[in-house]
Amino acid sequence: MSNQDDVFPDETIAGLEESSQGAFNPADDVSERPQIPLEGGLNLSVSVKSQDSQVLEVEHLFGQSPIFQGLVKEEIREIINHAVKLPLQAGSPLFSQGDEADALFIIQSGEVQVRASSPMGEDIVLAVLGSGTIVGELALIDGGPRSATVEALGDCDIYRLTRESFDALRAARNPAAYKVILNLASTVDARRRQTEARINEVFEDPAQHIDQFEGQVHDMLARLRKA
Amino acid sequence: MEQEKIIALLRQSAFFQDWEAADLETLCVNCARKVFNVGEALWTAGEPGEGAFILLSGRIERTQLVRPDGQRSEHYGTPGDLVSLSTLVQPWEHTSSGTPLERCEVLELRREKFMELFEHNEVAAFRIVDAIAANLVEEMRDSNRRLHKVFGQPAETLRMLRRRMRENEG
Repeated sequence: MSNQDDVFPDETIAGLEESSQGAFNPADDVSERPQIPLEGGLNLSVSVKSQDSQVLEVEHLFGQSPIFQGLVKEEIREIINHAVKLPLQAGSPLFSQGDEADALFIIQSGEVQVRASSPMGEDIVLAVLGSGTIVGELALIDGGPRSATVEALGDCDIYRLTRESFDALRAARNPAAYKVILNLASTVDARRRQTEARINEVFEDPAQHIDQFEGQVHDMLARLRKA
Repeated sequence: MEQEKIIALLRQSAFFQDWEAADLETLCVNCARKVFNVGEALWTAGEPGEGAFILLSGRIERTQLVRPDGQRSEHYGTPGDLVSLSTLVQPWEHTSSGTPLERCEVLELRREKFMELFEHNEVAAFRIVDAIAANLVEEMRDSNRRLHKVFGQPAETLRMLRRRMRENEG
């Protein structure tokens, strides 16, 4: 579990390294490729890469993510068809802490920084995330405020899958959508159990943790005195 | 209990009331009907979960130690109430125990059966996935609330830890 998950477990971040087992290999079938919509009516440039190779890249990007495990290639394409490519310039926010969570994001290229305000008002950088990482996948099944701010460090290409478009698949009882939910449920429950274990650890052996909390209280008092 | 009666009972609950009859039948034929008497646990904390239960009659108490709040108990007494849903996803160990408060009758949906239904794209399985997701989100929110309480309010946590140490010493 990454540090940012520990501190802000409701903001979900799934790394590429978590699982690539059984990942869909898009190279074996180039038929029925999905169209890749671009936000703002932009078009993919065909001067650098062919449309086919770009589509293969996107299929690979989605296919290797843990939340799309178990989906067959046609299902991955169906999901991609409901996602939108979002070019993000360096320094632009993907979303801000407190925003309503309404979409998940998959970073195709570039890096984003995850940061949040601590209860003491400090700005803390939680992580820098790169290609293949999924951010905020819980937004597909639940809203609520974002617990961190995510912004582009450099120019990024990011895919956005909104809960609204995902719900349309769900309402149609689309098997791909339900596979994603079941994968998410597994992720959420694992994370919840880790959270519970972390809480229980503190109370099962108070002597081991009392120094840590005393230190935090002293730090808080020192800051208050300064203020 | 005949299937027709079971379906009529399930339809009393908000969750099952708008299900198609065919989906309810599919669910019923893939569940095992079981009776538990007082003193017989439906499931026990620490044991691997094998499936979910759908209450038909009687009452079930679910108890769990949640820190820092303490012992928590929830009662289920409406036909169609679903319990232990998360064990349909993975063979997680139960973190709670389920015991009948009186003789109760349940449908047991084992994980293997549920996965079969899911793999056959049965609507019944998809609707149960909806319930699993909703439940897990609620449980995750509750865990996060307590995590923030413990680590976001260090003075209060320190007070609780000191009290616990005194109790342990006493």
